[in-house]
Amino acid sequence: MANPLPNEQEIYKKIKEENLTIHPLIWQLIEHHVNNDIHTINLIIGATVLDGKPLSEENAKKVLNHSKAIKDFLDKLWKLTNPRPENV
Amino acid sequence: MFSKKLKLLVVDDEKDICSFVKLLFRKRGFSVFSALTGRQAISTAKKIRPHIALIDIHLKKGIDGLEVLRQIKEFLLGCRCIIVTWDSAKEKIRKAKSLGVVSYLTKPLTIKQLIDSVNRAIKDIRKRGTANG
Repeated sequence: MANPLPNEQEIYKKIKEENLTIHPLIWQLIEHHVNNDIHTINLIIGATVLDGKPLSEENAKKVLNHSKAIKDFLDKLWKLTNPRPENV
Repeated sequence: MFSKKLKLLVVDDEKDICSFVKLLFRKRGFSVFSALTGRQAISTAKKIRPHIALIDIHLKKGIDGLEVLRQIKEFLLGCRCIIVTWDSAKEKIRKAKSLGVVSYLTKPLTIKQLIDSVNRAIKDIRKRGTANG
C-alpha cells in the first residue's frame, strides 16, 4: 500500500476544519467505477488465495484489465476536474 | 437438514463478478446461477427458486436490483436477498430494508465479508426454514 504523505495528517485536519467536500455526483462516479473494479479484483484474488493455487495468466490479465479501468477512469476524472490548458 | 444443494442466484452486470462468485460458492457446495440483467434475474429466479440471492442495484439494462428484489420477494417470500452494491445512499438502504433484504453490503467487499453474509443467511434458513417450495 502507499506510504502516507509526510503531511497527510495535516491534509485530513484541513479537510475537516475547512469542511472541504467533493460534489455528490463526483462521489457517485468514484464509487461506481473504483469500488466495482476493486470488488472484482478482490473476488478474483480472494477466490484464488482460498483455492491455494497460483493465479492463472488468464485471471492475472483480468486483474490488470480492472486496474487499468480504474486508472482510465481516474485520468478522465482528473482531466475533467482540472480544466487547465495542458489537459485539454 | 437439506437433502438437496442450496441454490444461490447472483445478479450483477459485471461478468467477472458473476464468474468468481459462482466459482467461490460452487466450491462450498451450492448450486449457483447468475444473471446479468434484471429481467434475466427474475426469469431465472422463477425457474430455479433460489434460497439466497446476491443482487447488485445498478444493472446496465432495464429494471434495477431493487425492483428485482421487490419482484423476487413477491413470488418467493422465503428467499434471503442480499444487496451487494457500491451505492451507500441512505434512501436505497431504507428501500431495500423495507423490501425485506437480509443484508445490505457495499462494494468493495472482501471474500470473507461475502462468505460471512451468506453463512448468516444459511443459519437463518436453518433456523426459520425455507419457503421457496
